[in-house]
Amino acid sequence: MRATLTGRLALVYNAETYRRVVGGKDVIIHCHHYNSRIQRTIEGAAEIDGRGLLVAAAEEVFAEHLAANLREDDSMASRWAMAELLYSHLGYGCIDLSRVEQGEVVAPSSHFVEGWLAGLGQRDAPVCSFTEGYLQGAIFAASGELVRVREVECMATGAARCRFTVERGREEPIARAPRAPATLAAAPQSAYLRSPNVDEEAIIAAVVGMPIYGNLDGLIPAFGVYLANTPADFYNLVSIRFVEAMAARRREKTARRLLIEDAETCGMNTFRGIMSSTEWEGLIAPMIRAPADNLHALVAVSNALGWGDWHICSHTPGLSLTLESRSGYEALGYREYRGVADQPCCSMLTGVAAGLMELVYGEGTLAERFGTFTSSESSCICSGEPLCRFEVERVV
Amino acid sequence: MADALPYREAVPACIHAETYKYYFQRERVIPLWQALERRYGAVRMNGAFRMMEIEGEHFWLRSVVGGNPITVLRRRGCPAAAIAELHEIFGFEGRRE
Repeated sequence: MRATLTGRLALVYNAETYRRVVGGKDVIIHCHHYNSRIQRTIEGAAEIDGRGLLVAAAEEVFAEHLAANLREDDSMASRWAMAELLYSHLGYGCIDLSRVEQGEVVAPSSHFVEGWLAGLGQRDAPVCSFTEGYLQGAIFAASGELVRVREVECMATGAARCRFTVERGREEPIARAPRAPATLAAAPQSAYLRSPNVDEEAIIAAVVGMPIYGNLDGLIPAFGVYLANTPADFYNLVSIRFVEAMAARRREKTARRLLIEDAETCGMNTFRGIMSSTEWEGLIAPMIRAPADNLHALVAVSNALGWGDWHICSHTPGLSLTLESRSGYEALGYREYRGVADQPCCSMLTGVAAGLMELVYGEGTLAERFGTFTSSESSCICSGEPLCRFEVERVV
Repeated sequence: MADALPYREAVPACIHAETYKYYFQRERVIPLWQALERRYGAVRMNGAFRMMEIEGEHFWLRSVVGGNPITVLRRRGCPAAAIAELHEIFGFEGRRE
């Protein structure tokens, strides 16, 4: 049965847009550095219910994602198996739904626990709010039942496994954010900088050919980090609602700055992990002849991870960098969920652009490099422009 | 230099704070991987990245084709005894940490 179900989740990769589709949804590959920091930022913001925001987004997205991968003639056993499989296939860990009807779910492995402990250290409270939302959405998709899931034991606090309780009798429906396909301005054919040393197509082909799905533990230890495939819809709903919730408390600038700073930090951490990995050593390091080659290679890797068809337009080594993105998931998502925006919205790519320069040209520890380059998004697809454009400069 | 082998270097920003890359004398590499296979299981090859890997219960052993250096990626909760046993196979005595 598992093999049949796995077939429904086969990767569909679009070489023109660099988008990765699993089970009918665009997925973005980020690592534990990014996922745990985004969670810390959103849950840690005072005055808003960040935890509730994360749970609601996961519930909404995965109710839809799982439903899209169930068939009318699937038995209940198959439906529960698919709920377990989707979670582990995407790299979030393992969940055991064998006692879900008795009101209990256990998880012997977790991307969120591993990520938090590896990047941010021990904590006192359960960390798997994403999983709570996933389970609420998945249980609804599989059985039609509205439930509330609470994590009562978590490996992040020292438990042997994560354990969740399932409370029945919920009446509040699962939200469905309205969305409409966006009509986008045609992107011009731009000439991008290439390095003669870096075979971007070989890098992209190798990354796309990697088995980036969960192992027996439902985890994806690759490039020296834990990766996970997460629907772009999740990241977009979370960041849009976080900014809106903060804006309602006159904290919009703070919210945007926090999201950019997370991406900047993660750009350095994630890519330093990647550059220290055996995969990099085997395929990419032999291509590197100059520091700028690292930038070209890292941009190729990030395109293969589904981040947004972005490319280097201009670059002065050590000083400045301009990138254009033709299909960044943040901008496309904003257009679909909210329409045309009055300001750029691509926090992740903005922060990562600075992080790239700090990693490649900075000196000292990552903490010492942070903030040594500044990045801004000068035009954005979400504002009706044909491209997103990122300008990075050294801070003097 | 060869007298100092094997030695190890820390790998930053990884999934475990205690991740190291171990360097070995060239003539030791083939018998070492044979010993690792006997103890921890078969080598898997990833041609696109020129990478070889053994997945053990407590860690992953990874290297580019050629087998040297070997990156040891520990899983969370990897016991000290498992690392001590691996170090014994490596002939690593903790120099130049």
